[in-house]
Amino acid sequence: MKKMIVTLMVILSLLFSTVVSYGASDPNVVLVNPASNSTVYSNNLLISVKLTQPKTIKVKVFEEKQMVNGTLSAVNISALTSSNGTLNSSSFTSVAKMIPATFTSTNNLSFYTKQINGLDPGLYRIQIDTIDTAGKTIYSTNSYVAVKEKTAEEDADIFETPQSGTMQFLQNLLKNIFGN
Amino acid sequence: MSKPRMIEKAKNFSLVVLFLSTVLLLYFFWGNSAFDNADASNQNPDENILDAAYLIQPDQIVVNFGADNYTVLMPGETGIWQNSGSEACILDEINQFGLADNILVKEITKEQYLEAMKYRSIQAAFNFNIPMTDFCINFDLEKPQSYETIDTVTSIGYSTGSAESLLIYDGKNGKYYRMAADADHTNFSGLIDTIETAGYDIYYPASTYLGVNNNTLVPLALETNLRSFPFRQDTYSYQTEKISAVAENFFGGNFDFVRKITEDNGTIIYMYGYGQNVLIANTDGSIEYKEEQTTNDENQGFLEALKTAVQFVAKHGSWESLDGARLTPYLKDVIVDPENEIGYRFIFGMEINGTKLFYEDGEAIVIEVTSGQVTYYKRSMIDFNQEDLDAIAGYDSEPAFSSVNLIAQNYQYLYNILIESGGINASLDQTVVFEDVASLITQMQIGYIRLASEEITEIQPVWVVTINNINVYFDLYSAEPLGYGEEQKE
Repeated sequence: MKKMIVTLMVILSLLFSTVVSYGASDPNVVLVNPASNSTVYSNNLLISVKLTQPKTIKVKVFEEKQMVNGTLSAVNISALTSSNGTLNSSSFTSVAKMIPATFTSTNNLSFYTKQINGLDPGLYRIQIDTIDTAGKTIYSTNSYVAVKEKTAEEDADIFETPQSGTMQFLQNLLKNIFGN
Repeated sequence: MSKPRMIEKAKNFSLVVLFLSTVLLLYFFWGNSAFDNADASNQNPDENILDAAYLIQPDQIVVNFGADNYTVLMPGETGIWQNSGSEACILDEINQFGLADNILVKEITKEQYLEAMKYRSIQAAFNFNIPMTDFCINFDLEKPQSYETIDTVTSIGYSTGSAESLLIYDGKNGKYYRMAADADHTNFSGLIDTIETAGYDIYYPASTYLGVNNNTLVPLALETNLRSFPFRQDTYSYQTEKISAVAENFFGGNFDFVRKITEDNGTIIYMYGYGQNVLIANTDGSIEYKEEQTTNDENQGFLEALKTAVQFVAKHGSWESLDGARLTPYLKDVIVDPENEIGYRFIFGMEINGTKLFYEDGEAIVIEVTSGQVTYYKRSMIDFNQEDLDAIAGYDSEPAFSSVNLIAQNYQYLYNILIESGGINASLDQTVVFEDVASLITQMQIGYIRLASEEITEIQPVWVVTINNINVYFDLYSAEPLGYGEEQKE
């Protein structure tokens, strides 16, 4: 399973590296969580943005959807891994998942944090714009994150089947007699 | 028999009786047993001697709902650890687990323990190590023979990653154990569901917010109605009548033989004999009692020593303020063999309406039981008007200052405290100061603070950031630094 996750992350990185940034990124505004092009197994998402200068940022979260048989559907993350290595982001329709949040920091270090709840499996885009005093966007960055459902395999018992009670008793007895 | 002979015999008999009476009186007044007997005679039959079982509670309960979604519960806030009603609680489920046949105990690695806790899980973490036998006795748990492998319990938890098991951390020996039944006979899973459904404060590891290497759980946002309220100390040394009554309670029938010394600064010292028993009423409102070691019961275990301590406090000042302000005590920390004496130093904390009360300097109650005898007792309780607390309970909740931005805003202050205490070396590279500080935080919680300055007359609501065993206090709503104090560990 881990191998599959790693493969997925590598492929997502390769795919999105060609389509992500359509604007220059602000060196003083960094998305700490979620890591860009990562996969999360939860129906919620914590966004944490680190600001290392007094700034105003605007944070937007979108779900990327695709038209399948005439209806807008969530991007099939598993299908992405079997594609031929190209991704046409123009085929995505972005659906806002939260009201854009504006955050102003007056300190040299601060964090914007927000939890987004009720996410379905799919592909999500986090857009962070840096706004100047006139309200104009001077930097804009986009990061993608895949949301997946946890499979039964990931809930498997992490320990091996315990030995029998008799064996344990004998083992403890021997330990008591001969020490550890 | 002649009359003079009879008179002679009567005189001899009287002399023997007088001699024996003298010996008995000397024994009574000078012997150590005098205090116990005197105390018993002065005992108030209605005094509230607490059950030690209720004082032993986890420092925090960590619930993982899966996928890095956590909450942290304080035992005082909820009945999740134990409750007297029919609601599900951790202790009931541990008891249920103990009823299973053939429970196997196996040592596991720290990595395996931490891996298990990444799954949907619940974990009760104590501030101290409880001997396994005492843990089972105190909480009235079944104790299969296989449990004997485990020396102490510091954390106990359940994980859906190994649903038929309970997982234990033995902090004394730094070992981790898995106790496995044949199947999951408990309803821990249902308990986690109940907590999730009821709604909870969201916590994430500090690493998730800050990008530093630190798994300490930090709340995303908290809302609370905690407010400041006026307080006074339990006793002040200038309250002569009150202090005299306290002293009489300590010395009992021997009070007439106790010397009273009043120092220039106002401190009052009561001394019996040549310092075998000393009571000091300090000007800061605390009282200290010291007793010469006379017993030699080195076999008294943790739980017995705790019961001795609990009874002593109940008889000497009670578990409330002397004027009856309602505080809820809990066992905050335990130091084994303090200052090389065989026994325990018990540190008791207090909760006010389920919220922990911190002291910038000192503790609410510290008591040492060495070789079966109470040899040291310090009490620094506060008193307040219950009406003030009742009024606060009716206030609306307000958002506390952002926990993450509190760290970001105050990391330089925390850094200076760490340098001053020797907990960190001054770094030439200022760009890594934030990362250095943030990676050392071990706990973040809200509470009340009793600041050390005698000019401050209010108990204040605070954020408490624990870093290198130092509690640093910040205003709950503005994140303004208020003070700090080292946790008593040695």
